[in-house]
Amino acid sequence: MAKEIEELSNLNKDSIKNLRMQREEYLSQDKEEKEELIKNLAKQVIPNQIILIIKNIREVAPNLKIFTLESRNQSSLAPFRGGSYLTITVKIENGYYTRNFFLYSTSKDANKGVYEIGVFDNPEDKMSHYIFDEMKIGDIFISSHPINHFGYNMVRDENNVLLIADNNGILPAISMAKAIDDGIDTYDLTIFYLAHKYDEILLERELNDLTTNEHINVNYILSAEQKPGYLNGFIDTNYLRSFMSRPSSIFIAAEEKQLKYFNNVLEELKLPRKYIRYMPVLPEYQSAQDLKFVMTVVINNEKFTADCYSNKTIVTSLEEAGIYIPSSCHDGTCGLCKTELLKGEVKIIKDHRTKAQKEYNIIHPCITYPMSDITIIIR
Amino acid sequence: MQNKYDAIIVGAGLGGLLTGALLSKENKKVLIVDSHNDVGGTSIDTRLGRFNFNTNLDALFLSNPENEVTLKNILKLLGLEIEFKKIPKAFRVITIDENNEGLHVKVELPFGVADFINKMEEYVPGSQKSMIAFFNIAKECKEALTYIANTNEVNYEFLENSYPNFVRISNHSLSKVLDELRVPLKCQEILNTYWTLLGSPETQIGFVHYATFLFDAINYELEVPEESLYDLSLKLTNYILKHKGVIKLNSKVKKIITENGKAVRIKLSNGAEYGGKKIITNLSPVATYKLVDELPKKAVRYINNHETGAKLFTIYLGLNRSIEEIGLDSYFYFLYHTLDSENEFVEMQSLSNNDMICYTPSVINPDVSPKGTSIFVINSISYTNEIINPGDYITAVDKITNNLLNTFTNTTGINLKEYIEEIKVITPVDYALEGTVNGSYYGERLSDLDNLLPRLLNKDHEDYIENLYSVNGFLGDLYEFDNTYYKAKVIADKVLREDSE
Ligand code: FES
Repeated sequence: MAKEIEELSNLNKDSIKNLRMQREEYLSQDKEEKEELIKNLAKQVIPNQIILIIKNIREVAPNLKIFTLESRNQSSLAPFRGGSYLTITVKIENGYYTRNFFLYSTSKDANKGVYEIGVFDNPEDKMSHYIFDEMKIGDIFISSHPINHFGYNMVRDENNVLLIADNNGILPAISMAKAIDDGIDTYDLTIFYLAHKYDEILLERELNDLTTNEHINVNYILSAEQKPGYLNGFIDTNYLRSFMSRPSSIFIAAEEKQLKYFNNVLEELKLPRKYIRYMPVLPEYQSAQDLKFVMTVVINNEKFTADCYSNKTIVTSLEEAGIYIPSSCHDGTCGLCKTELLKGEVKIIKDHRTKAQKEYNIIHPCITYPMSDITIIIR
Repeated sequence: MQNKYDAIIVGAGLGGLLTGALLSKENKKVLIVDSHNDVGGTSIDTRLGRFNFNTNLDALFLSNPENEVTLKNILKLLGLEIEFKKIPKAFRVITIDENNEGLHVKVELPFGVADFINKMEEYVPGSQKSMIAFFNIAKECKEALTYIANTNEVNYEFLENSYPNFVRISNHSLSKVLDELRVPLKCQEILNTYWTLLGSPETQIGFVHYATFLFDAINYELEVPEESLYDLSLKLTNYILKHKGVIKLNSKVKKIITENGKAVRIKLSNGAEYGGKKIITNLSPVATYKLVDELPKKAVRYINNHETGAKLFTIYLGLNRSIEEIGLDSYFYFLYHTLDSENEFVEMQSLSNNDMICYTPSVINPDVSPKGTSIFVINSISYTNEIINPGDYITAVDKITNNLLNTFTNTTGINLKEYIEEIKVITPVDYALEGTVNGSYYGERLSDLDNLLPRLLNKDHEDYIENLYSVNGFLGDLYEFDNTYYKAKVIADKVLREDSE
């Protein structure tokens, strides 16, 4: 038995007997329901799903259209950072396809219930091609809230940003510039726009309009053409250095071929990794032979079979087969498509799986290619 | 109606999975549903650049208790194991010196009751006697709580005889009892450092609860898991599937359906229904009751008589230098504006400029990030219900992040911003969509009659719906550091017992 401590003798030893009853009484008071204000805010700023209606379609180049999208009742849409994209799902024939499209508008427009996205025509990709060619005003998109993997962060990045973009990255580049122009972000942005020829430059007028803002600059660099007022050739270390009189962050929004070149340039600059940021690019992969396999998909104890190909990701084959799988990033980072591989050989590009994921054969079908017949299970 | 399960578990977080594993071990037919596309609940891990941000980086466990219901011991029952690493010091607490007047209080205390008391005596001469009394009573509280938690009918006479001090302090707040024990004020303030881990200030948190909590931590020491809790959840998933359990992902529960006051099945948002003998949620009781189709009046009142607890604003930082180069040398940094928790609590009703609990996982495990880099985590606590215009949300998040980093720099002299290579911020808004009540990471707030002891004493009277149970990581039951797991064990045992009757 514990020794009684003298200092506590003022306290009543019987009160514990009433504690349970007091608790009961406390719980039976009539009180009003509390509103969940933070949850309400969450539904506005990171909604699970947004229904968007196509209000306008503008062709700004033969291969690029800007779609203006509105919320259903014109209520304000979730805000976002410059450089964000929407994950959009569309039903084509009997299957659902999911792709990402960069936002071209700003958070200010979102507040008024409007998003704008850029859609490139890509004949090799069924979904982009379908949206570009077939979808019209009044049609509906199912979208995620805006997602950001590439853009300026005020605590992480320097306030002098050099952004190297080609056609693939020009939409996020413009969106970042617009966020500055809207007064949302405050830093200096210099865009280096890489193109082969003058004719390939997209949205030049819009870019030039933005340069009336003193914090935004654009330099065009043509690799295969000479034209007055436009630089000719390639970006090299010395050229970049001339823009770096103060601490700078370098952003790269370009396709994989360009990246390889820039890695060499950046190496010479000897910048710590913190100062270099890349736009996520979908991994490119080419298998030695183009082979066709059978995939078996187990969903709710039911089995489906479909064709899959050594040169297509499993997600693509699932979409083509009309089997729905949630997906978003398509570069193996978001984890939305995670699936269990029961049988078969696969090739995984950029394998970042955890120890346990490897042990239990969890794969990301968006960056995984079959190398034999396979069986997967979607729970 | 689809086939009937022995138990349906809502939420494949660690609590739900552990309950599911314990039940399937005894050949119960288990169905686990979760609205996400993956198991692991909030323990999901994120990769940014060359950094992996995991919840295990700041998940605290008791180090060495052989006979206690801890995660380690429960996993042993399942034939599973995970490795842990010890935290070197109990805590370092520094006061925030907004105006840089050189007025920091900086205190660091070790683990081990004797060492703790000795070090405290150095900081506050004359505190030793009252500290010895404090830890003696804390130990007594722990024993008394263990008795109460494991008994169906509390024998008050036995309590009074065996735990005479406990019965006297049982319904008092931490500050009241410390005053009675004549603990010097400065010593009280230091002793209360862990208050933010429980989320309620000294005037409101029950002495019993805080004392037990601190005793466990100081006596047993704390550790964090070496591998990610997400990987652990995959291990548990594999265990459940091997034992014929069913796991359905992307399945959001819309309603828990009752018949004659008994929970009988769940309805998913796609309309599918599944029946089960027991329904167990990996949610707080309040969040659970909010899902029930028809609630008795008592349960409605139960919901409305709870305050939501503390909310977290979390910043994960991937730093491009080692801790030695940066100068981070403590696992814990508690950064408080003052050491007066009541005052702090009142000040923390808005989102900005709040107290912080910071962790440096790299101090105990250099392998959490690539060589030459490190990871640092800031948790800022608030009780906010502030309404932000949705259009201002992003700017607000950036501003809060920036302020917290500046405060850390001004207080410690370490300029974190210089080293940030990757950053991930999780706000109460993000937590709000993860099955919490209004974004509260701490569940229902502990205060007065909603403290641990009253909850425990009344526990058998608060099951308003038959066959409905809740396991969750929120505070309020016995073994705080291993709370989720403890509850999983208690509920699994209860279900098994009722099933065999
Ligand atoms: S879609 Fe993001 S990981 Fe596959």
